[in-house]
Amino acid sequence: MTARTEAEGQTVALAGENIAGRLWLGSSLYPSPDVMAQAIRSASPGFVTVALRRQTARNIEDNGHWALLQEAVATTRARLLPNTAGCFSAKEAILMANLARELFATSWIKLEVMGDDYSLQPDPFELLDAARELVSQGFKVLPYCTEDLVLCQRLLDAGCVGVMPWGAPIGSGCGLQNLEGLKRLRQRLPQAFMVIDAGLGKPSQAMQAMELGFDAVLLNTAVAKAEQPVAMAAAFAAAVQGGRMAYDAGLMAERPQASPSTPPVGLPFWHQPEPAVPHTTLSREVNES
Amino acid sequence: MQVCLNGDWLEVAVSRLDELLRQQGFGPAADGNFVVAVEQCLIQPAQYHELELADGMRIDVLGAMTGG
Repeated sequence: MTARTEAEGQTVALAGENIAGRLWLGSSLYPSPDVMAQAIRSASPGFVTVALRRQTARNIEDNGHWALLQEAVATTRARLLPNTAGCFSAKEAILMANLARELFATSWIKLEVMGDDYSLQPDPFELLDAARELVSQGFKVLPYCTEDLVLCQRLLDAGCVGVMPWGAPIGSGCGLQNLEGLKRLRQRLPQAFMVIDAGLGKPSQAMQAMELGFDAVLLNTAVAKAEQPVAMAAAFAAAVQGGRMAYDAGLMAERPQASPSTPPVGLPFWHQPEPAVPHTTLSREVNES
Repeated sequence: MQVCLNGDWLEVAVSRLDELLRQQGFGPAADGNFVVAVEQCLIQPAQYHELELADGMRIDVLGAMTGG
């Protein structure tokens, strides 16, 4: 495991490389290629996720999304993070990762192996098998997983450069559904590089993840399906930055009871017995004399 | 001879992968923007002209796509 953050700005050191931001953005579902490119520029993300699919020669030559995506990535400091979306076995994911490395010329891979096509919940067993093989092939593996502590530990032991537990099912926008589980995960694996991936719907949820000490967040639908994706990308970028700043500043400890912020010591009636004559009456008498 | 290209069966008269790709329109403009898997194994571009097609062979040509 080779990850830790740098204090400066939003740059993150991961696997020996500097990643430009803590907000990582998907490239899918935008209303147009142009809006996607503008959103990427607006968010200035550390990574932009991409996929690969069967294509005809004509699709490849007229691929407006890909052309604009390359341009947007080139004008920011973002890197491409290919995914293995759509794979349901370790074998499929390993092939997809190898095809992605060839096409995108990068060893970074967002490893996805789905176990349930309704919830899009990852298959932990196939995921771990795929991770072990891809690490042995020299990939920098970032697996999309659940918040299961033992699974995350095994993935890290296998050599993954970080883990990416879900906040909620992909595209749901429900936020951090198992808040206590995610808190425990962060506390138990304090040195691990962890990205909340999927399920975030609001900037406040991204901020919450960052305040908990997660190293980055990865999202797509919340920006792409916003009424104004470019403005929403900027909102998420600000939230992620604010959340990380708050984490670095050290949040106060929660307490179950109230505690006055203005000290009571020094009040004229602090721990004094009740006067025999009400002070309001006394002050009137003084004024009259 | 029939091969399955991106899920569709084709009757082909060519014998090598590079010839098939050219026939299907994957010319110089597409170079570097696609990858090929044959029978679910990655084929390097340098091997395209060496790979002999066989009846029933399954070939996939993939390009970049948006993703989350």
